Amino acid sequence: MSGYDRALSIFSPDGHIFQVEYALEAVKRGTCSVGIKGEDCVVLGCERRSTLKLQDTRITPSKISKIDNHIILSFSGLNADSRILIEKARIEAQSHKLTLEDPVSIEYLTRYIAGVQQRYTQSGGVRPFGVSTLIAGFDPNDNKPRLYQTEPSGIYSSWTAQTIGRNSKTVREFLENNYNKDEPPKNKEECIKLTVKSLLEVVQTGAKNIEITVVRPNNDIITLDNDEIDKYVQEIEQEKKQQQEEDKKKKKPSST
Amino acid sequence: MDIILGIKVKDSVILATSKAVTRGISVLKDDDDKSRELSTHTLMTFTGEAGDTVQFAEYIQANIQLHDIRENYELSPNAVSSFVRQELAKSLRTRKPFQVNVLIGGYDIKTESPELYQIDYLGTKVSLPYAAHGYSGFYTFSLLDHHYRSDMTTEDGLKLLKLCIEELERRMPVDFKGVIVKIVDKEGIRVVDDL
Amino acid sequence: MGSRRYDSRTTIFSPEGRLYQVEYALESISHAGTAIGIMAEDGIVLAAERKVTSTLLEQDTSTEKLYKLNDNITVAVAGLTADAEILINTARVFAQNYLQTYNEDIPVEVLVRKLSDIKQGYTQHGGLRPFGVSFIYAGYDERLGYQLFTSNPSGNYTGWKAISVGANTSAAQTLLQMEFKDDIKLEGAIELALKTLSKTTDSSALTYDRVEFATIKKGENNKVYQKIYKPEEIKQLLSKAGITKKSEDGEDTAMN
Repeated sequence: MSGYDRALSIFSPDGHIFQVEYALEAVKRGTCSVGIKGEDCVVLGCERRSTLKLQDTRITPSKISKIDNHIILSFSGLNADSRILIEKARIEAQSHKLTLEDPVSIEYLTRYIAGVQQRYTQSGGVRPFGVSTLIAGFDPNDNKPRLYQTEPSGIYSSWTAQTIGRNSKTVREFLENNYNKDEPPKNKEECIKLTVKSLLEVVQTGAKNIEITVVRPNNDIITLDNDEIDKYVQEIEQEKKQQQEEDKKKKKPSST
Repeated sequence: MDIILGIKVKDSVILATSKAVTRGISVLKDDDDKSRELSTHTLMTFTGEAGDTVQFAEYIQANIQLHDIRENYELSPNAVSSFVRQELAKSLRTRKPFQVNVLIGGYDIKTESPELYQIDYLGTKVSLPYAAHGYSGFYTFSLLDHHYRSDMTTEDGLKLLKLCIEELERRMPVDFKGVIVKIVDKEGIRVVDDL
Repeated sequence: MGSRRYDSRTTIFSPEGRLYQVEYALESISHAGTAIGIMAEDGIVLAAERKVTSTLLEQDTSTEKLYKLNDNITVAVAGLTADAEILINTARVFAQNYLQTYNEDIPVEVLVRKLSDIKQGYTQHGGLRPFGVSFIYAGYDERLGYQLFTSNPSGNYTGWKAISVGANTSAAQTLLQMEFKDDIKLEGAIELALKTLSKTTDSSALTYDRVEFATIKKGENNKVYQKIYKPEEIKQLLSKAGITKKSEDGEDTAMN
């Protein structure tokens, strides 16, 4: 670290590009986002930074955005940086439709966003985006759920379930233990429930700090309101309680 | 020789465009749709230089749709028409302006009122109860002047439109291959199957 | 001193993924005169405290903390006034351009986002320092009615019901949290704003020449209008809220 992390797009002798690595740190400082594929849907969920009492949730920007009628995006990292990426992505989506008739495929858009992020790691006088994104949707006339991730370096990858941001390690472990690749959540409700459950691993304050948006084929995008999320939270807590009680019962006879 | 008509009635706007695409002395196509949906409640019909028309309409469409996704909110028909007018006015002052005339029919969900605007390639925008571009006005304005009432129902509006089309079929020297009719109201945009 | 290497340029992440220049800009704002915004059911109040440097300074001629952006939006500034004026100019031009294009007033959030995007740009592109200003925007539009936003040097923006920026914000925010009611009326909001300001001020007493004050509300025929108060009117407000008198008492006790 002797000056090689100052000029932006420069390798250090041992092959690191420090600014990109530091940008990843910025991502880790951002609130957590989760994406989960169901059989016929993809759910994006994220932790909303502690809403203060006097915050106006009606007009505070959401962390899940619509890019086109069939694509949604969630991010972790610097809020302001994400807006720039989202704006570029939205313009590309419309521009693509204008020149080619067809809406963008999810992979195309992911590749585009990753490309923008890459450019900012190799151009003069700019720092990389301090943002990782999860991109979800269905290609036009297609029923296959898609979920991708992009990173500050410009790498992108496809996932069945993925999480980014603060505490993502905990959430990923949860997902690895609770998501069966061969048997993805059968429907919207199950998929939302798993998303909420995974977020509850790191969100202590319940529904009011969770955002959920579901995308399904044919431009069907639904954002859940607070009450709807709360229903899932209650249900999950109920189940946890039952589980605990059952565990207790089991323990008792064995101990006596 | 394109037909492009619009009638604003009590709860909706009716827009009609001819289906023929002609070039020189030939009809190339008889099922052309000279309209584009700009948003859920705003429809634009157009006529003018071949090529310019679709290029301009789809450019406007992309921009309005970009706005709606970005803001998660539909622009009012008045705002859309102002935007279109400005684009034409800007284009007029370039080396090769778009030669496009349009009608914009929309339903303002906020004020719950239908709106109809006529905009020409010079950037003149007028809000009108009924409107046309090109020749079709010459044949139909007498009928519209006589029968039009601002509190007409959509059904009566369609009847009036039918009179206009019949007149056009009777008097126009060329075959315009009939019209596509669309209605914009609070439910959105729909096509009228048989007039 | 470990941070020295990263704070000289705005475009650089520190190893922990932080942007020091932005944090320093935020720090500088926390020393600026306090500004408060409170959204009532029937209007919005903005109040700001300015630092009086000399008694010889002409006070009546201009405001330095409150600016109209267009017919529906006023901002309060905390931070470098010179930086603020650049953004305010841009905002005014942008708002008028919007009006010219759409024949409708610019929605509040669109303008807030525009300014925030400019601020973001200064944290990512080379050779620039961030804007040293936070704003409180008070505005009205047809879609969402009255709205209150803040934006800061990072380019983040948030919606609020009541908020303060600048010096002593945490104290002010605690007071606002205790006193604010969702059904507060403009009259109450005016009083609350002044009281909060007088309780958190660094100087011994809140006098009319230290305060700038503005309201946005609907007048006759439902038209929105904004008012930036004149020194005389502020004098009246202060005595009406019982602050002028109270502060004299305060001085007495201080002398005892």
